[in-house]
Amino acid sequence: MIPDDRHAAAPDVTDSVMRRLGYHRAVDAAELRSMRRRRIGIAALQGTVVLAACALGAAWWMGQSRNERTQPAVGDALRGSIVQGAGKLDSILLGMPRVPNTSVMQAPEAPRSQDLPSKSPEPAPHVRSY
Amino acid sequence: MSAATSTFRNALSLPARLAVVAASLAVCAVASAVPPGDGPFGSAVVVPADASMVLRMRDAKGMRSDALMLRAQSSLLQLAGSRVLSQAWDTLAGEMGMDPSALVDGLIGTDITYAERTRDGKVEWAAVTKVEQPLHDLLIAKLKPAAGAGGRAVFPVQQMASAWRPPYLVLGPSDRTALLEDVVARIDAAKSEGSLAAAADLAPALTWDAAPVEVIWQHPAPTGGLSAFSARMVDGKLRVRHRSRFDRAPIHVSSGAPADAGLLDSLEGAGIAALVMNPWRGEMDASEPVDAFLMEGGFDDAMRSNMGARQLVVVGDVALEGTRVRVPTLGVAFEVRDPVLAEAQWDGWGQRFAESVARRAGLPAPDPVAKQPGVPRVADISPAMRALFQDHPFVRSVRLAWSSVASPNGTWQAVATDPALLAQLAERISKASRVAASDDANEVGVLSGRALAVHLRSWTTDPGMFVPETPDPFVQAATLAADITSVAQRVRWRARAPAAGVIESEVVVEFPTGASIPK
Repeated sequence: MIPDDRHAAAPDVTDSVMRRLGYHRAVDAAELRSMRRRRIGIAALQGTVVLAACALGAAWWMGQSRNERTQPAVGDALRGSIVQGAGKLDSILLGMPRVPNTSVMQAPEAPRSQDLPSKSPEPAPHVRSY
Repeated sequence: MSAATSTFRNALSLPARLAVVAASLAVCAVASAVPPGDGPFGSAVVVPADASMVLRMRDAKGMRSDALMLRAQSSLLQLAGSRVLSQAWDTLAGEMGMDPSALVDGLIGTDITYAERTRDGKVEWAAVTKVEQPLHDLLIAKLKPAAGAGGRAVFPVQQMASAWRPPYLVLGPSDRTALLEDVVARIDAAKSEGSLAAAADLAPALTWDAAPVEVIWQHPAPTGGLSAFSARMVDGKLRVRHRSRFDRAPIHVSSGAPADAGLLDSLEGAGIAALVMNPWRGEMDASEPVDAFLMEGGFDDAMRSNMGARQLVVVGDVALEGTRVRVPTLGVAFEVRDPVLAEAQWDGWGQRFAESVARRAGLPAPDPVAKQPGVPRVADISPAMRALFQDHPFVRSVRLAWSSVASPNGTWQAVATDPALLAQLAERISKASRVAASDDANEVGVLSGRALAVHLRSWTTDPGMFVPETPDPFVQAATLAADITSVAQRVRWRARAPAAGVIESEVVVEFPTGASIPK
């Protein structure tokens, strides 16, 4: 039933109750059309508000979920941080001497004559153990 | 995260949370939980034998509040801190409604064991930490974990899994739970078979006193073997005890007579670091700096046969002319049996060294070094070294110097990369008195953290000399290293080799106090 519809069936007790509740009966067809448009407009507005609230809620929820997924794992973060920290010191090696294409520390050893002992191979007293 | 647990959402309902708590309690009720033992390296009992590293820290909370450790903490935070870690920890603390520092103390401040191993190229880790029941309850209430298989709690946001064995909370990554499961099974089964505690290489360390910090480290091939460290503060000094058994030792320590501690006392202050040891008589290793230095001149068996009972190594430093940059110098000296023979041998060695580096640099052989009795020999090898090392600052002023040192303290042959250091060595050797090291240590050493820090910091005054293209990372690393080393005012160590491949040592780190802290 549409309240305040004067084309409805003859007024009954419902009519007086509806008036007490604030319903207004249209006096002519134009007012009735206006009231119907207003009611549709209000319903549309209410729907828009509900949809907007849903959209905001969904955005908030998805934002929360995204934050959760990108939050670093505490244990792995701790371990990774220590490993990475030790790696920071490796940059010192960037400034250390480098020898391209050769190792300076491995000289070819050519046979050579040996120096002869100056005296008995027995150790001097001063080099004996304590 | 497993498929079973991934279906759980973070925001679990109250009944689900209660189920997790109930499951945890049920497991506790039926299991005979055996925590890491209280004895030395007791944490090894709950760790499988294939763990690559185990660290146990007792009373980290107390260490955090130790005034002497405050400066060390600052350096360690510089080293290990990161934005990611801060974000993760602060977020965790925020979710629990706790101060981040209080969370550190509560979660890892009492007794924590951390273990890790690598399987299929992935690192697995697990931590066994002693926490109060209220903190565990808060953890469950605030973080709302999901219920995982076997009564585990899974924290999807933190990507961690846990098992509660009061008063121990066992933690691990939620996507690699094998080590966590292994540790929990060992705690529940109350047996040590197959654990790291049964490792033969660890057995000697099990007789030590329990320490606040204990580390077990299994070395990958080719080094192989196992090292155990324990650290404690004693009279304001950090004392680290260590034992290693290597398949292939990365450093040399010779067994034999006790090292000469009196000689070390005399050498202290001659440079950044000094060590006195028995000469190494085993196989030479070209990857070891002192060996490589000696091998370059052809350090042959005849020279080694003429070595006496003592050897010393000093790492000094000198300012590079016209700059504030300091560069390292190296000095080595051997006590010799036959001084006349030694002089001839070392003259030949020095000449061969100079010829060798010239040959490598593609330069003509240098003129023979002048040899006058009693006068140190000096060979300017800087042209060859600059050509060879692309004009690196370390070699710009290097001059090879060697001489005999005849003194009441024995006859020595000394060689150095700087004539001034050679003169210092000769003077200090002569003045030294011979004192056998305590505990039969075969090697004793001392390092000045302050001198090393000054040395490292000097590199940042002209970093373009070292890294012309992009000096920033080098500067940051050198500054960080200087900050860390400045914390240790003085480091002393003594080591011995009780068996082949075994090295035992004690390191004592002394901290600066009050106004003596270098900036």
